[in-house]
Amino acid sequence: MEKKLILIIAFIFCVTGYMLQVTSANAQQVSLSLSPPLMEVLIKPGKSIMLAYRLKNSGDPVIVKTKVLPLEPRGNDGGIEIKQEFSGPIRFSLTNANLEIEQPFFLKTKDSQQLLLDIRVPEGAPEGDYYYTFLAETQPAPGLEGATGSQAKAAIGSNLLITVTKTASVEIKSKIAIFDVLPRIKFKILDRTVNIADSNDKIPVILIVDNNGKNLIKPEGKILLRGNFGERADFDIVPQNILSQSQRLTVATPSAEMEAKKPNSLVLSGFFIGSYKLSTSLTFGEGSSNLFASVSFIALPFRFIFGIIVAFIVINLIVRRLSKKEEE
Amino acid sequence: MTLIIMKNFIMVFLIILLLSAKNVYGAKLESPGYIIENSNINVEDKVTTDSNNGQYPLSTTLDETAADRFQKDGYLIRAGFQSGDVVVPFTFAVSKVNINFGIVEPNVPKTDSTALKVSPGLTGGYQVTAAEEGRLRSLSGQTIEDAGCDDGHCDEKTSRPWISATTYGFGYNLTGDDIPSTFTGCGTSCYRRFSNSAVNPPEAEAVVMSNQTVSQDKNIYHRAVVNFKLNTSPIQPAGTYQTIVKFVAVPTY
Repeated sequence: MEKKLILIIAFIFCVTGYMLQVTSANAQQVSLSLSPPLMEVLIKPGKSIMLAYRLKNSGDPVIVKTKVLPLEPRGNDGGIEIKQEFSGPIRFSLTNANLEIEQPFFLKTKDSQQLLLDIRVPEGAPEGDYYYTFLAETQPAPGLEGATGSQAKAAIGSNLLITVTKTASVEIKSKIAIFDVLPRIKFKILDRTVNIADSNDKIPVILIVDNNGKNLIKPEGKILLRGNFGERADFDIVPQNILSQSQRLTVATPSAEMEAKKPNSLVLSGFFIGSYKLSTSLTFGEGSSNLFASVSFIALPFRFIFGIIVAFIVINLIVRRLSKKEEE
Repeated sequence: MTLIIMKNFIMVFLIILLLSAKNVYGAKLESPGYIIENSNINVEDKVTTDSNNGQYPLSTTLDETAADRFQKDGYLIRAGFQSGDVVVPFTFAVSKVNINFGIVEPNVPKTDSTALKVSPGLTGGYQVTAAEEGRLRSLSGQTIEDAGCDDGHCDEKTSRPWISATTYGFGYNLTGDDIPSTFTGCGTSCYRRFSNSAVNPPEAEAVVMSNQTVSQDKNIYHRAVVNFKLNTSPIQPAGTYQTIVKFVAVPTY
């Protein structure tokens, strides 16, 4: 009898303990990854191709819908504006057996889905570039009942840059729009710009390239720094795409910094003294025209000189005061 | 005595500087027949003098093998941002999709937040944009205005201080990595409203995170927190108000 009682009490204890266990309730989170993040396609009119993407869900289970929307460059720093409505002659569809564009599908946690995007270029499609973003967008969860709030939708994209050409040629019409430094002091003397920096300043360099052609281009080249004592430094330009009819602030390794207020292609840092010349040479492929530009600046140790002057004044005052005391 | 030393120092320094200065050449073009030196040379791709009028065969921008393949197959595909044969995925996460203000009382601002996390992988750059799909709306069709901030001058691009408990509306601010300068310059009491994609014409989505020169390292994450704020007036009709805010993350091109 006692044994039975102990068993019953133990059973009640275990059940109660299990029921009272508090499990953490996490708000739903979304975590998606998409690869590849960029596809560049050259294609003749009348052809079609299939691109394979992989969408992976590392968050909570989600319902996802895919779409393809046109993109345009935003500003000149590589930003993108995705249009709300589809346009252009190119036709997109998913060739997955059970999936279509704009059709929702379920993706469990840790699950991934291969998405086979069919791109069809009609026979009469005009030659030129067409830019799109392939998006995977979550469907919002139901709102919390009785509570005011907002549901967050997450979308992740992969950019698709398509060049339609039937003549197997591309148009390269480029120009260096700006190649300049942003020093501490800049002024003009007789139509010549003088750039003056402090010897310890970080000196931003700006290189903006225009693409006035109808196809995207990738600049290759260097920015060269030459000093008056024979010192030399080379900085490779990162070959980023410049979309047609746009311009881009090109980036050079290793020290480009992009801040919202002060985007730049390169930041020169170190101790400079004397006059320096920066030059750049760009090409867009073997056999294309080269572009050149240059700019110069002078570096002087203003802060060092100012510090020396202040030190001299202070020492002078101290010496005079001590001399007066001795005389007294 | 001190002045004499200073004068001598400055003279010596200027002499050193003059001796070290050389002529500055913008570009030095030379061949066996000539040398051209100029201060600034900007050479454009002069299309009007180019016999091809800017048209180049594909072998200019591709290697010969790729150009031949295009001619044979009629297409060529390149997956960008690869490391060897590996294409590193671009990743985006939102920590919480349900933004809950609970029971909202007039003149009592409510806040909630969610974190955005981006791993650009090897892309070298990315952006995240945000827009609301319409204002906060109740089932009966009543809406809550978007934030105007204390001085009435914040909009979908510019943030302004929003501190007063009698300033009403729905807005957000950002803290963390790669956020717009309107927030870094203004401080954590500054808010702006969401772009509204449900109006006609739809407002362009506003950039909430952006960095176009990130390290190409698949293990690096960029993180920002979106802080939502809601304050209602005493005359706002009672009800449960909801909207959808869409965050879109894309890599650079």
